[in-house]
Amino acid sequence: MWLLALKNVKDIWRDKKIFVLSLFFPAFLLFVTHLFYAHSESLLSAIPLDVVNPEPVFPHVGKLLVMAMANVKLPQGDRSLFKMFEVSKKQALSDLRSGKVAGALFIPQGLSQSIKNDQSRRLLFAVNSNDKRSALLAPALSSLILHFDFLIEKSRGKIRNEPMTLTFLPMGGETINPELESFLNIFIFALVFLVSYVAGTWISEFERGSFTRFQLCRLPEGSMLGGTLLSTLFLGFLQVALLLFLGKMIGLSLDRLMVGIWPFAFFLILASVGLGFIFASFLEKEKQLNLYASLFLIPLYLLSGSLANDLQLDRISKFFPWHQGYLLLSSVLKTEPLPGLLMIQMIFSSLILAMFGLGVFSLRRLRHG
Amino acid sequence: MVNEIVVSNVSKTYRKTVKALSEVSIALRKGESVMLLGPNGAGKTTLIKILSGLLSADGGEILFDNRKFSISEYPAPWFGVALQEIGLWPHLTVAETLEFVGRLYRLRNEVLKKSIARLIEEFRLEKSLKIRVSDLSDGMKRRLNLACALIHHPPVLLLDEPSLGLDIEARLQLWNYLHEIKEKKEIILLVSTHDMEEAEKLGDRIAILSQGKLIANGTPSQLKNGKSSLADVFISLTGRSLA
Repeated sequence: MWLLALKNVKDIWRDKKIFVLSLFFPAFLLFVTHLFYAHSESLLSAIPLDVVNPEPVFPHVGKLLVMAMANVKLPQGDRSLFKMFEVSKKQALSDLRSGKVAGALFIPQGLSQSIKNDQSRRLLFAVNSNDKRSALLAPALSSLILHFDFLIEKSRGKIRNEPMTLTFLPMGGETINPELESFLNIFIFALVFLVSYVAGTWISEFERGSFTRFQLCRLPEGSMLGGTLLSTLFLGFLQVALLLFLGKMIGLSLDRLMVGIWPFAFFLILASVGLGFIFASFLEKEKQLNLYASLFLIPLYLLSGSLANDLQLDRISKFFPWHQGYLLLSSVLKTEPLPGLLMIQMIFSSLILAMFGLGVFSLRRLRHG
Repeated sequence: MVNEIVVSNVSKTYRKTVKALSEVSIALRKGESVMLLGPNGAGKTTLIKILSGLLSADGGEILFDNRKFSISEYPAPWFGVALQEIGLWPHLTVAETLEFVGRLYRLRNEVLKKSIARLIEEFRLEKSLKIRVSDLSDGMKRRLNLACALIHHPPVLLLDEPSLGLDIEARLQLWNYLHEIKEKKEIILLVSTHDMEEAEKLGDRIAILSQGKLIANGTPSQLKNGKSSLADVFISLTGRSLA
């Protein structure tokens, strides 16, 4: 097992294709993202926002929402994300047209009553597309509203019978940081190259005939699978270390993510190995792999793009560093993170995928060539 | 370790329709070289793969000094095998390849060192030790492939068209080397080939396969039996040429 792992590690160092795709490309993406978002935090600070709030009195939902939004802060320097102005609808539309504000939030009349009666109401927000912050403001507001909606759903049973006392966004702890989100997205995206590495390694062994040498030497299946697993862990951890190092270099506030990402990476690498083995079980040639990997890569890229829920990142890291990990999975599963349970789900999902891949590969390719 | 391998009535069919071998029987003895002659698709590679344990036969049996082995106990390490595909790793150097293959065969450090030193000398690999396999010429790759097959001192050497793709000089070197192996090593040597000249030059015995059947087996002079060349023998037996 160690022998094969060592040989594979040599391959990783010497094969420019693996090196470029698995290490250089994700690092390059991080750098490019940095160029796009480098000043996003300063742009996002104190964004002028009009709020049309017909429920200005506590404990109405409108009031709670405005209070919570006023307390959404950036992690560095205790700066508020929004600078809010409570105005009339007419004034808000005028401010938007004149460019005085970057956006406006319209809270509908009778929102609290509707929530009590279990009825849907629509919150409307508008952004000034001429403002350079609008590209960041739109998703930021969208995330906030989604989060707000979720909390309302969660507490609906409670607010039917008693005055509304929503546990809203933890004060002063939320952040919107597109650059940090991009870091996590690139981290997930880079995993596709691990899948490609595992599949490519074995398809090449079959194609060039070196696999028959393993058979002739009676190399145990466990050693073949274990050797690949070890070398992929090496490559995967190298990928994570490089991204973290670059993240630090370009000034990302990674904080506890520096620690928390490792166990999460471990399980994702396991899952990637499983997926790689599944590819290697059914594809015969490297050309096929290039085609199928591309087909696989595009949806994964889209998935990774929709992953990170920025609002939850900092809040989660307050508890345990590794919660950063299952936070990402929770985004995939579209569930609220449940400490412990979701982590167990993640571990089992990764292990099942890894075992399934190893099993399929072992039965289909190692035993029948 | 093994003095005689007796193959009896071995058959193999691929995907239930393509008959690759049909009740082939042949005996291979220590110190004797057998050249397996036949056109493409005759079943030469299949027979070598079955002998080396890479494929299982559908019928028949293989006895090693009158002993039969099950698939799980099959003595694969007794075989040194060089197939047509050069199964080497492009990113390893020549020295690393020899060491890696030796370790795959679980050779101990001392034995491995001696074995590598011997092969480097015999195959004249001294100047190529630090060159990566991807940078070697085809001839060098074939030499290294053969060296890998011999690293664990196998008592049986099975070579599948070893001179395929080699230039005249490399082919002569290979023939000389196989001749030396035949003279010195006292091993069982089975070489498949298309090449009549190669078969006649290297073979103590020549076995001719056609469409999965063993149609002739004897010394070159026995097979010729008055005919001017092996090619004539082959054409008269099969009604087709080797090309």
